[in-house]
Order: sequence, then C-alpha cells, then structure tokens
Amino acid sequence: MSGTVVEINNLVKRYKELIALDNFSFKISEGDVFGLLGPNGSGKTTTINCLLSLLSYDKGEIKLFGEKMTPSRRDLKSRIGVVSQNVAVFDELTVYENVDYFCGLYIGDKKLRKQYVEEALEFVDITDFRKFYPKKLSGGLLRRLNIACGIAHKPELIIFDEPTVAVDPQSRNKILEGIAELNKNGATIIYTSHYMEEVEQLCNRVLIMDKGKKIAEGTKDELKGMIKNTESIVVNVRHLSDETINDIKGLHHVYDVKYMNNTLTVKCSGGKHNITHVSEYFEQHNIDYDRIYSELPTLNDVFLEITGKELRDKE
Amino acid sequence: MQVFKAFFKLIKNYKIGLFLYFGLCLLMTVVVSSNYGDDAEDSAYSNVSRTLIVKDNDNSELSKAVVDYLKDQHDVEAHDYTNDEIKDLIYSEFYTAYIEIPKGFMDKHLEDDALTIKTLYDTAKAGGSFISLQLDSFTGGVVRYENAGYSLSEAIENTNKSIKTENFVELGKKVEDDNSNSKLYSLFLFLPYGIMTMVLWCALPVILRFNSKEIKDRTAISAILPVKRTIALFMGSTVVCIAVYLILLILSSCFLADFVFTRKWFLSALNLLVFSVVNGAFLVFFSSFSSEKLLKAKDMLINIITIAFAFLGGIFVPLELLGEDVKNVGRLLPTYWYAVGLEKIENGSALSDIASCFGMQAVFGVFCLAAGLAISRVHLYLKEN
Amino acid sequence: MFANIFNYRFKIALRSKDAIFWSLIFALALGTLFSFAFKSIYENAQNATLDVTVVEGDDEYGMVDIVDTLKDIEYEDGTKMLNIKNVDMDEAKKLLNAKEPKVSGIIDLRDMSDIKLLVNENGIESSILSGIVSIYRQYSSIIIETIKTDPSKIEAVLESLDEETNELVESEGLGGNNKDPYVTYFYNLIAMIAMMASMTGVEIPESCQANQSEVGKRVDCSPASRVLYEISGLLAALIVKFAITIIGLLYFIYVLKINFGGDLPYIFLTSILATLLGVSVGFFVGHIGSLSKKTRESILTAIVVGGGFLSGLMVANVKTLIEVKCPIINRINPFAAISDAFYSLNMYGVSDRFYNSIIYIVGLTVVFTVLGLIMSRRKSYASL
Repeated sequence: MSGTVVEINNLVKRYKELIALDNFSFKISEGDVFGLLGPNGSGKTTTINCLLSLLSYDKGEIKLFGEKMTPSRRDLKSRIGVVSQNVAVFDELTVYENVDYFCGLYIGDKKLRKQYVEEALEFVDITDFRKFYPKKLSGGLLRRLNIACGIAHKPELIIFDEPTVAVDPQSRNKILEGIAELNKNGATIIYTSHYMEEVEQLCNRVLIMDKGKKIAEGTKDELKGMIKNTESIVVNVRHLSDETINDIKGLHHVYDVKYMNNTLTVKCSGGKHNITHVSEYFEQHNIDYDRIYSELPTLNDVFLEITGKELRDKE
Repeated sequence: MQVFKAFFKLIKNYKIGLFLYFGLCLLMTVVVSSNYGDDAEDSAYSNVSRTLIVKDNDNSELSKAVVDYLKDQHDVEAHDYTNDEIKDLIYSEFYTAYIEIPKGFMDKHLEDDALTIKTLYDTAKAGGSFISLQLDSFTGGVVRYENAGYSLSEAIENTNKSIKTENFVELGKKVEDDNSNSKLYSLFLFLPYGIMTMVLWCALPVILRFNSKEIKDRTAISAILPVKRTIALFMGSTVVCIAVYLILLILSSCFLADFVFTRKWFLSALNLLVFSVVNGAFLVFFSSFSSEKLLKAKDMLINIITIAFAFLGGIFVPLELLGEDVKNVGRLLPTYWYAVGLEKIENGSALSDIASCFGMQAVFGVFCLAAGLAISRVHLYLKEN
Repeated sequence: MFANIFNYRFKIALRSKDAIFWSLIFALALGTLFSFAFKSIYENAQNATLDVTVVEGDDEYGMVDIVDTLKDIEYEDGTKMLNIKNVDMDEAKKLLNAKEPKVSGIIDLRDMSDIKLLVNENGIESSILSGIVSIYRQYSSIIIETIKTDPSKIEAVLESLDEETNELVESEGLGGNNKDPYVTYFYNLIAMIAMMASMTGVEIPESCQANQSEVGKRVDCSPASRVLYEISGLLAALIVKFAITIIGLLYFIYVLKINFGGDLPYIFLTSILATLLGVSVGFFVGHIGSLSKKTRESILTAIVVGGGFLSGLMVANVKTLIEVKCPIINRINPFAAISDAFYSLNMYGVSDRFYNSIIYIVGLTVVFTVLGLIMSRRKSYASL
C-alpha cells in the first residue's frame, strides 16, 4: 500500500492523575482497515478524540495525510468521516434531512449533495425510512442512520468508534458488510471495538491496547504468531484422574492442560496432528469421551496471554 | 425508603442551582427588608400621609409656613433630582408629588404677577390631586385672611387653625387597618415566594426525573405500592421544603432582631411552616401528572406557577388592591390563605381566627395529596386495562 | 453552506413544538394573569366623584350658596369632586354607617361657625373632603369673625372673598400616554419573555461543541466554519423567538387591550431587540468554560428571575428603590434597560432617553454575541 494516512507518535494524554494514553504510537497506511482493540477504558475513544483534535493532549504528535492535525485544519477534517459510539442525530429532522444536514457541513454543491445523500441512504439500506423521524426508528436502523450521517460525504478516512454496540445480529452483519464495502471503494478505515470477532472478520491490521499502552500490533496472523499457543484441543470427557492429566501434559507440543466441568483443554505450541495425538492417547487407555475438537487461537488468546486477562468483560 | 433515599441522592446533582437560588433569595430578602412600611398605629382621624419632594427656593416666612404645613401631614424630603428622575419616581409611585416654591414667592404673592408654587403629580390620581388641593386650601386661606385685613403672620396662624383636622373631622367608626405594616409582615409576606422558587427549581426536576418513562415503568413493575411511592416523594419534598424553610427563617430573622421570639414572630414562623409542608404536597400533586416532556419546559412552568401563586395570593401586590374576581381565584391557593393569616397575625387577631387560615392551607395540601394519589391510581388502572 | 445550515437550524427550531408551546403559554398565561390582577387597581386609584351628604341648619350668616359652590368643585382633570345629597343628620348617618356605606362623609353645616366633617375611615377620600371643608371653614371663620368684631366691614370682606384670589399653585401632569404604573408589569413581562429566549440561546453552542453534545462532536469534526454555523443557529433561534414575542405582544395589545403607551412600531422594535438581547445572553452563557448543562441553566434562571425581581417584576417599587439607593444596578440590569425603553416610549415618546435604552440593549447584545463568538473558536477540549 502507498502513503501513510494516520501517524501518531508518542501521544500522552492525562486526566489529572490518570494517564489515559501513555506514549502511544501507531501508523495507518492508505487502504487499511485498522482495528483498534482493547477492553473498556483502555483508551480507544480517547485516541480517536485526540486524532480528531476534539481532545487536547499533553505530549506527542498527530499527523493525518502527512500533515499536522489541529482543531483549525478544516482541509484535513473535510477528508474524514466519523461514526461515533453514540447516535448523534437531530430528533427534529427526518432521516433524509439528518443525512443531508450533516453532509451539508462538507459538501456545498446542492446537486452533488443530493446524489451523495441518496447513495448513503441506499448504502445503509434505510431509503424506505427517509421520511421517518429518528424517534420512530429501531435501534439497528438508528445505528445505520448514524453511519449514513458519518459517511455521506465520501471521506477518505472513516473512523468507526464501536458502531455496533447494542445492535441486533442482523443489523450488525449489515454494518460490517457495509464497512468492508467502503474499504473496497478506497476508504481507509479505523475500527475500534472490544468485539474481537468483528475485528478479526474486518481488519487487516490490528492494534491491541490496554491502559493507554500498545500491547501488540500487526496483521492477525502476526499477532497470533506472537503467542505460544498455536492450537487448543478441547475434549468433553468424564472422570479423569490426575494421573491421566499428568500423562497428557507430557505429550509432545503440549504446554498446558486444564480440566474443569468435564471439559479438558489441552494447549499446544507448534507441531502438527496434535488432535490425533490426544485422541490416540484416549483410545490407547480406553477412556471414553463425547467429543473432541481443535480451536485455533483468537485475538482474545493473544490478549489473554499478553495481559493475563480477558479482552471483554464476562457477559 | 428507597424512593426517599434516591430523592436526596438526585437532589445532590442540583446543588449548584440550589446555591444560586439561595443567593437569589438572599438578595430578594435584603431588598424587601430595606423596603418596608412604617410601624405606626392610629386610632384618631388623620389625613392620608404621602411622601413628597419639596424644594423651597424662597426660604421666606410664607414659604416656610407652606413647607411646615406639608411636613405636618406628609413625609417631606428634599432631593436634587432632575426633572426626568422626578417624573420616574412619581410615575412609579415612589413619591406622590414634587413641589417647588419659587424665589420671590412671598414678595409677590398678593400682586397681579404673583409667582406660583409648581406641583408635579399624576393629575389622574386622587393622591396627587389631594396634595394640590391642600396647597390650594393653605395658600388660598392665607390670601383670604390677608385680603380680609389680617397680617401675614395672623393669616398663617388662622389658616393653620382652619385646616387642622382635629378641630373639625370626626371619625364615625373605629379605624381599621391603616395599611402600615411592620417589617416582620413585609418580610414574611415575601418568604413563600422564596420557598416556592427554591424548592421548585431544585425538587421539581428531581420529581420529574422520577416520572421519566423508563424510571416510572421500572418502579411500576416493582413491588413498591404507588401509595408508598407518592408518600416517599411527599416526604422527600417536605424535607426539602422544611430545610429551605429553616434556612429562610433564620436568614430573615437576622433582619428582624426586634421581633424574634415575639408572639407575632412565632405565629408567622408557624404560618410559614404550614405553607412549606403544603408546598411539599403541591409538588407531589404536580409530579402525578407531569412527564419527561415537562422537564424541558420546567423553566417556564416554574416561573408561571411561582409568579401566579404570588400575585393571586397577594404576595406581590397587597390583597386590598386586587379586584374581587382576582381574590376569588386567589382563595383557591395556599398563598392567599398564607397572606390573610399573616395579616391577621399582624393585626393581633385571635388564635382561632389565625388557625382557620392555617387550616385552609392544610386543606389545599390534603387536596393535593389526595389528587396526586388518585391520578397515580388512574394512570395505573389505565395501564392495566 | 450557510443557507443549508440555516435552513435546517430553522426547521429544528420550528419543530421543537414543546419549547414553542411552553414559551407561548408562558407569555399568554402571565399576561392574562397580570391583566386580570391589575385591571382595576389603577381605575380605583383614579380621581373619583365622592358621594357626600350635606346637613344644613339655620342660615343665620347668609352663606346658603356654599352648597352650590361645593357642587362646582373639580379635580385638575375636570372630574367633579363631589356629588351632594341634602338630607337630615339621621338619614345622613344611616347612609354613612350602612354596611356598604353609601357616602364618603357628612358635611355638617348646622353650625356655620364650626363646619364639621364626619367620616368613618381614614383614607384618600376622607382626606380630600377634609381639604374642601377646611376652605369653607376659612370662609366662615373670616365672615363670622368680621361680623363679631366690626360688622361695618362685612361688605368689603365679602367682596374680597368673592374676588378670585391669585392662583398660587400651578399643577403639571406627568405627561405620557398611559399613566397607569401597573403597565410596567407588562414591560417587565415582555422583558422576561425576551430574556427567557436565553434558554434557546444557550442551546446553540451546545449543538456544535464536542464537549457538550454528541451532535456537537460530529459538527466539530466537520470542516464547517464555526462562526457561520453559530450565526446561522442564532438567526434561526431568533426568528422563532421573535415570533413568540410578537404573538405575546399582539395578544397583550389586541386581546387584553393593554395600552403600552407608545408608538406601536417602536414597541415592536423594542420587543424584538429585547429578544435579541435575551438570545445573545444565552449564547454567551453557552460558551462559558466547561460548565454542565444544569449549571448553565441554573445561571440563566438566576439571571432571569433575579433580573426580573430587580426590575420590579415581582415587587413593583423594587426598581425605584434601587434607582434611589443603588442606581448602578438599574444601569447594568438588562431587564431594567428593556423595561425603561418601554417606559420612556410611554412617557417621553421617541426621545433621547428611549434611544439611550435602545443603544444600551443593542450594545449589550453585540458584546454578548461577540464574546460568545470569540469563545466559540475551534479548540480541543481537556475532556469530553
């Protein structure tokens, strides 16, 4: 890919005693779908707000499209679209009017704007609701309207700040498909979320952060390559003795075994046919099991292994 | 108990507002306390006393006699105001008339080109006309006596005699209230507005929060009875009202050092306490049909309610000035009975008489509570069916 | 871009039905209340013809025409002072002491050497009667004294009494179209309606500042000019608020028949400028630091209620009291300036004083708006 769209160097943001961003740096290249992943309160939204010059910061540098971003850089702002975590629309305006209003903050030409607004409505599939007031829309439709308002002016860089919070699965899929399409059409995307499945599905580059610091950055494979765990073998089995568990621990490539609630999790590092080795052990020792399957590592495993805690709050 | 506790947790969010409105009430109390009537009581006949500005440029025997005559009857002040300022002050009824005696008035008063005393007043009002009539009668009297052959000094003496009301005016019945009230009365009359303002600005938004759709629905599906919720809100509102009452009572008592712990003070304080509790009940009544929509309009609403209650109840404009229609409407409000009660306390009426005014306020409070409960029940019934 | 933003801001303002409804209710309800409460007060304070009874006795000094003279006395504005009934003392007392007294007093002429007045209450009516009676006591005392001491002079004395004495008192009215001081309550009410517009003014910055609303974040991220954005919002809010003020004013003038006492175009102009000031005050408060919405609203409420109180909206003579004791407050209180503009229109017409008030209102508006716009320049916030 060509030029750098976003460049953040050594960003520090403090809220009194709390350090929200601690020498935080990253770069995003043109055409990337960049996932910013982290638990609640890790500093994702703070990063985005600093990037947009909404928040002041204590130290560091932010460059967009190769130029320094400041609150008065209207030229840079005109190239950005933002879809915020919370729905930001006027209750007094209809769906069409809302999109037209926000698009109008970027596009002066009436004809062009009309065309863009229609395209945006179509893109998020809310054309049928164009005359509805936001209060009459369901949660999912409201999110889609929120997206339309952020992308109607066809920005080069689009920031999605947790756009799928509290959205039903159908709408969520629609939103994710839409974002992929926007990227296909040439937009660079920043996608923040604490839903790792979404990031895994959507992003080509991922940055994991916690407590204002970068924990890991790279492509999905690169991230997964950083951790010891390459495969987890899960076996549903009853009554295992400690002796058996110790035996399994001794198998080749196995580095950790856990047995809880009749489920045995065998973590392997490297190697091939690990599942065969485990199933063979059970057959050789005449131990009956219900089910055996293999799981490849997820970003959650990456996060868990690096920080020792789950990426998402337990639900 | 949960609702009661939550009430105070929510009200904490409005502490800046509470602080601001307290400052506002303090300002109002200070201003009102510096603007009270004289503490005078009369049983014999006396002419109406007005406040006048008199400027004596002549400083002669005659002009001094005119000024003395006016001083005998009225509050006479000497100020150097501009013409416009004087007009403003008379227009706003701060003074009744401006009187200026020209230089050389005495020297020329019997000649054809006599100089005239200038009076400025609202000619359409009886008060100003009366002052003019008095001046006419005094100066005319002096001239009449002089024309009849008396010396100036004799003429002044005879005129004074002829004009002295105790010589010829008899009062048929005992004089009733003479409209001059004590500082205690003036200040206490204003306090209900302070209480209503402070309480409504701070407690009403909290009650309206309780009535926001989600919170109301959540409470409705909980085990708490609507009656209990209403009572908890009433208790919360009442505690706030009493707290504000105590603050205002202590504050106003600072301006009333001479009155504290007198019969009048105790009764006035009791009157205000009854009003405060009734105010708590009114808040609950209001909450029973208010909605989140009203929260947006609360600024307008609170102003309408406080100003309307105060005007119709005779808090801002004395009851005797208001027409019978206005009083009829006023009788439905606690502010009216508060004001009537205060007037009775001021006039030293019997306790039973004063208690009837407390009773009327209480009736309003009970009505508010009952109506509040009834409306809550109707809402619930409509939801269930 | 400006036209588009203005178009939508106007639509938003127009569709905020609750806000419009309550603003109108506020104006109409308080106006009706004031008109209802004050209608009769000024009428009651105006010159009224007093019903009196005269009880005559033997006319031993030949002063029978005194009653005719009494009948002719008038107030300065031409209203007759007395309406006289001749009855005997018993009847007169019945009339005076009735539960609803039929007369204000009894002029007792039975003893011409000691004319008496009988009233049953202190008050302006009794005071006027005592003034009149005292004049006739002067006449009678002069005549009787002359008859007693030197009857030969009586002709000359009567002649001198008949002569018109020099008018030593000259009266001047206040001027102005409506002397009813209670109309000031309406001036203050218009001022309050106008200042209530500050609650709308405060919402303008809210919609384009990232630290105040979600929509604000979105607008702050856009390249739209902040100044243009805010001015368009200001204009849209103004038009709706103007409409509310004008509807209120029309209702006062044409339905409640309130005589504002000045030329209508100037009254409308003043009301519109007052609304402008109200919105600009809110606009300014909306830009102060990082206050919460509740705090901003509390500040505005304190300004509206406190300013209203100081200009006499609640207790009428507070403004005058301040004028006497601390006039600087009236000079800086926007309410007082608005109320004073109406008052000067009434009393002095379109005069220097009116222009001074208007210049002050416009000056304040410009200061608040410019300060607001200066504070609104794009910036990053310490927290959102």
